[in-house]
Amino acid sequence: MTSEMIQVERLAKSFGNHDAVNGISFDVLAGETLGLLGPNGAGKTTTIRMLTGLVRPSSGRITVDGYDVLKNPIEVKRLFDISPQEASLHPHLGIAEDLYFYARLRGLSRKDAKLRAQQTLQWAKLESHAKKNGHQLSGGMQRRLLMARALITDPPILYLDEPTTGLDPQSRHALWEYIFELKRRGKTMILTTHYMEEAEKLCDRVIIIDHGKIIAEGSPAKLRRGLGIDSILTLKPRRPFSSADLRALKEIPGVLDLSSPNGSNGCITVHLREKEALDEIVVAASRLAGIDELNLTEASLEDVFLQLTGRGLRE
Amino acid sequence: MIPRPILASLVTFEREIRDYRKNIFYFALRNLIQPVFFVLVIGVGLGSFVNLPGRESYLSFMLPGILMMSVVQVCYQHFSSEIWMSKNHEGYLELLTMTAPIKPREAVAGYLLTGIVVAFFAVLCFLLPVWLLLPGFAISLSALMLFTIGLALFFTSAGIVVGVSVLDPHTLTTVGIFITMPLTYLCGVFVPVEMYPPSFRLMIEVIPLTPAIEGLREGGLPIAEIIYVWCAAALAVVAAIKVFERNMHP
Repeated sequence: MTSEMIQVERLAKSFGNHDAVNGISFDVLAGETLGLLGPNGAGKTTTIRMLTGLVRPSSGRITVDGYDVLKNPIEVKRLFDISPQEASLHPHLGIAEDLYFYARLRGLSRKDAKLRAQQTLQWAKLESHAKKNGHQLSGGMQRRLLMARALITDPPILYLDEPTTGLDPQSRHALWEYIFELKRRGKTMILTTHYMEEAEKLCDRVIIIDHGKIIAEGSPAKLRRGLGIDSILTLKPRRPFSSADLRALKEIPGVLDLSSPNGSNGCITVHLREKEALDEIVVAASRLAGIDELNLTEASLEDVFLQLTGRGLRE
Repeated sequence: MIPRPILASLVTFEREIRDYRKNIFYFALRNLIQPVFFVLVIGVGLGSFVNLPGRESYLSFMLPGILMMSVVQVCYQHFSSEIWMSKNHEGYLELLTMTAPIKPREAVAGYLLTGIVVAFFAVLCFLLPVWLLLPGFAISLSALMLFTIGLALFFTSAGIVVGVSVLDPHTLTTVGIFITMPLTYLCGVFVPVEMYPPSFRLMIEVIPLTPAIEGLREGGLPIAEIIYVWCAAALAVVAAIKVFERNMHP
């Protein structure tokens, strides 16, 4: 990972009065997997569409391997492919034919396109469905097909726009394995998702977008560290804590924050700066109100997002 | 080595034709049903009560109009619905222009080529049974070819413009009715345009379908009408490319 494969400078897009993307800048290094995270409507897909040249930016500039996306669209399109959010499959053709024509449009000869279509179906384990229309496949099969189609000419860059949305856990994990394989092969990837686990597992670096602006950037570990939270303790007391109890717990060294949201049945959420504070809290809580249940988790990107925006990623 | 823009158009054409061939029986039926009803009900049925001065029969007057009208309907309906579906429902068209190294104008060229083939197929679907049943029916084949290509380009372009611009299916249907219905009944398919008041006739003759029908009825090679239809087609193609580019790259 040395050179910058994708450079985005002060990119903005407005639709009427709505600023979908608001002056974002970032680079993606060759071989890097960058995650674009944000809630629905944050500007992730608009950013991907501008990266592909489908949507014209209101301002800003994108270069891919030195080529300007707007000035050299053909050169840029040879460098990337996409697994889009929508099924985007031909309405009438069988999937083998669909792949064949897709490969032909990307410049392959008839013979090579036929061969690559067969190989792609094998890779996606869909050979037995070759004559079916893409819309006759299950959701998991469609996602596999879209991922496979994006690889039909083996481009160095892949845009994966919410590749696992709507999949069951088994299909999602299977798709993650494909993406890991692509990482091993050195592909440069931009992945949009609102699944934290996905971003944490697959991405070398993450950009969090909200209201079209970048609000945080870094590796998942760096972003979590930036929160200053090591872990999160959720504790259900046997008897409700009094205000004085909560104040006493909050003053324990190593406790960063403590909250008892309305409607949480008296449960408290404690953000710990260091795990060493855990023993003391458990002893104190047990003494003050007794403990029914407790749960300790590591801080996640979801917590980073909550901390930064005050709302969850799927809101 | 074929240059990339030509190859991109040819691959689009090949894909559309493959798609068309898959449902060729359905398309043949669709091409035949309305013209056959017009011929039987209006041409043979009502036509037996009509006497047009200087014309052999009402049926022979009507057939060139039905031929050209079927080109218009097939091209407009096929491309407005196919492109609308690919763009708004399936997301396929977007993917095509988003990822493949193909420019919108090259995709449009592929659709236009397909439009010409689809138009000739519609003409054949109608003309073959007509020749079988009415062996005496004569038509200038060179004029028929040139008008078919011109109208195919014009109305495929119209289909592309509507398919790529309209967002909801109800509007698509309504626009379709407003385009094809007046053309069918006003452009001289069933009645001579000389019957209209001069100002109305002028309006009707601006639509390329009217000079195509009149030219075909004249016989021979009506150069003025052919040039007019082809010029209108050229303008429509330019408009289709512009609208397609604007809508696929907002």
